[in-house]
Amino acid sequence: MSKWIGPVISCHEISKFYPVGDGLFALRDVDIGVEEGWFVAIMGPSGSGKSTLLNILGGIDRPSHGEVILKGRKFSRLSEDDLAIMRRTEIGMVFQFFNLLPELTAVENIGFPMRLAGYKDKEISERVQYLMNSVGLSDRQNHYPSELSGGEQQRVAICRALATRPSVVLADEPTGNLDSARSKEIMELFAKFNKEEKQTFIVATHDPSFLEYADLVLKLKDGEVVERSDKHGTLV
Amino acid sequence: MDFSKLAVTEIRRNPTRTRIAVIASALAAMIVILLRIIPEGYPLGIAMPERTYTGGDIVVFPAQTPLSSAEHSTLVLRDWQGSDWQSQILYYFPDIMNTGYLCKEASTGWRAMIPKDVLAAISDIPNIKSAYSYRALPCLITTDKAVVPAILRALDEQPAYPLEPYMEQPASFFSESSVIDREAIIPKQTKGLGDLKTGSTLYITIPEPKVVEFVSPNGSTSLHIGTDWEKAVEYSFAIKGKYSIQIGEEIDYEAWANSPDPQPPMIPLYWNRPEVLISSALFETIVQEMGASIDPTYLESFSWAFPTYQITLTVDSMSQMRETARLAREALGSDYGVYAVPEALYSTSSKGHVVMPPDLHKLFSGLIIGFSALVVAGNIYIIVVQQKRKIGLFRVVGATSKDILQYVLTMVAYVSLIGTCAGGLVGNLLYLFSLLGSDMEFGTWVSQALSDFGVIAGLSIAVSLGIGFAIAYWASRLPCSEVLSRE
Repeated sequence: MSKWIGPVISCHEISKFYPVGDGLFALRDVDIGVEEGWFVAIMGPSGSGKSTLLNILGGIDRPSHGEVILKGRKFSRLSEDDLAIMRRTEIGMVFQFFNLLPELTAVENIGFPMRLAGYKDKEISERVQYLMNSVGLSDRQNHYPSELSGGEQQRVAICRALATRPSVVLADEPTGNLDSARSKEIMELFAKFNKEEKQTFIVATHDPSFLEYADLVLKLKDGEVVERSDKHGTLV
Repeated sequence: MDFSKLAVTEIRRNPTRTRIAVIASALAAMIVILLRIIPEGYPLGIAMPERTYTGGDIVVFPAQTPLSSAEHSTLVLRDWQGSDWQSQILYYFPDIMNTGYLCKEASTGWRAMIPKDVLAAISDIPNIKSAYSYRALPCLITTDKAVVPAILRALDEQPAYPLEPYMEQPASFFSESSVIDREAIIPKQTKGLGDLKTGSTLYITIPEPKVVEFVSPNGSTSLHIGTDWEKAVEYSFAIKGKYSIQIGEEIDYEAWANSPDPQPPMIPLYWNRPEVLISSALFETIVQEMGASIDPTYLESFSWAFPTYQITLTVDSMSQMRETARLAREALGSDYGVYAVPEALYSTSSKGHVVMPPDLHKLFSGLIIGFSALVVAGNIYIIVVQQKRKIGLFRVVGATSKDILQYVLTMVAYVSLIGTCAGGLVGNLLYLFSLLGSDMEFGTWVSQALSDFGVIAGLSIAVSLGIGFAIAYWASRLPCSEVLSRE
């Protein structure tokens, strides 16, 4: 498999405009380039545009202006179905409220994107097993989401996002609904997979604890990137 | 993929909506199956007096009144130029005397029927047991008090349905010597004939019948039977008995208005057509005497069943009568009107045109299935609206619009299938009771039940899927940002 050279995901002059009232810019001229294996933290107050930026990077929402490029593929040239197919293998997403499918067990939830991507049963089984062991849920495999705690559900959601070994994992406030102990577990999991599987993580968060893992920290305010720094606070 | 499984699980997680949709499908399937009980089989009791009097189960007239609203040909309204004595059509469609009758432009129109042509056309149709030519001539009956216009009709010595139950005195039907003794049976209800005693002599004047060729509206030549009263002959018959056929009863409002009794007094209704019945053999003798001047070639063309303006068919199986009538209608084409007697009785609209029950059956079935499909689709729509967030999540993890289509359509198909199977089963079990009132064989019932079920299930699911597709398409176009926008 050929290795991608250059930013794994980048966006150029991204703007998102909502024509409500006098008009509202949720994002304005955002430029980001993220290399493979980076851990990026997007910080900012509520309403600063973090979620909008993640949606656009995940191909879930379209920018009003600008371009997103994932491994050389321009999102503007892809249909909704093309983007969905791309997300199967290239993008994993983690949400604040987990968003697991309640009718599927933990194992089935994790294997779901793999089935969509056409993996064979054996591959799915092995990968799911590995991930569940990695997050310490090997004894909760056949439990439904309603039978799991919040922290366990989020760990299952992380496993689902990682199942197809996507190039980029986008996480929107992944610890926003957890207590500090569970939040630390989740952060450590992100760091573990970032290190072990060289996956790129882009995490939108209020939680300053994520900074210690971040290669790049973006601070957003009113839809604009107002600061770029490394985890030590050095401006880049 | 797992979307079918997810769809079924989702359906089960919404028991109220699912139940409503399943019940709607089930009721639709059941009603459509049960609709068959009403139109398909005519138990013997229905329209029995009319069948007895008509002489069979299906009447064929030499002019078509369009039977089906599915008829797309150009139709024309023609004056009816017949006479009451020629057939019983005025009993079934009394308005045609004033309004005329609708028929295809190319139809021959009202004319004398050539029985062998009709028989040849219907000879391959199963379930036809026998055919009977209605033969009659106009006549005048002279009594001590009056001269009564009447119709002299030939009745089979062994009619399809026995007349005895309608005779005033039992065992007063034709005897073996009905020709020699010139036996006649008279209608008790006809005004002026009620006083005539059984065993007395009946004096009848019969005009000479004539065969006339004429050019039909479509340009073809056909035959008409005329009568010449100048050359009328008087015959005398022995009154063998009297008949009176009660076909129903109605409320006597006048008497009820003056009556303290809360129950309304009823007036019996009789088939009041002045038909004097003589045996076929005797009628044949009279026609030969009266029609001596008629060209034998004409008589031969009538196969000696002269004159014929109406043919009545009897069927082997009553439960197949509608289908038999349909086949006869197809076989005879637009030059003939074919009516099952119960249909003709109950289907004459106020304008004198016929509204065909099978069309209504199809229409009702279609409406019921369409309505149930709307209920199914409506409930699925509500489920889908409730699941917008989940559909967004599907999209986020990589589901394409095709996957969402599959998800929603599986829900629709599942609900329709369960409902239709349940309704089909119950409907067919109830339909089983229809066997009690008909002569349908069990094997026929099974094949009809299975074919009904196949058609209804197929239609129901197809219509539901058709409507459901619109919902599925809408769902497949939902923006996947839906899931995050609700975070």
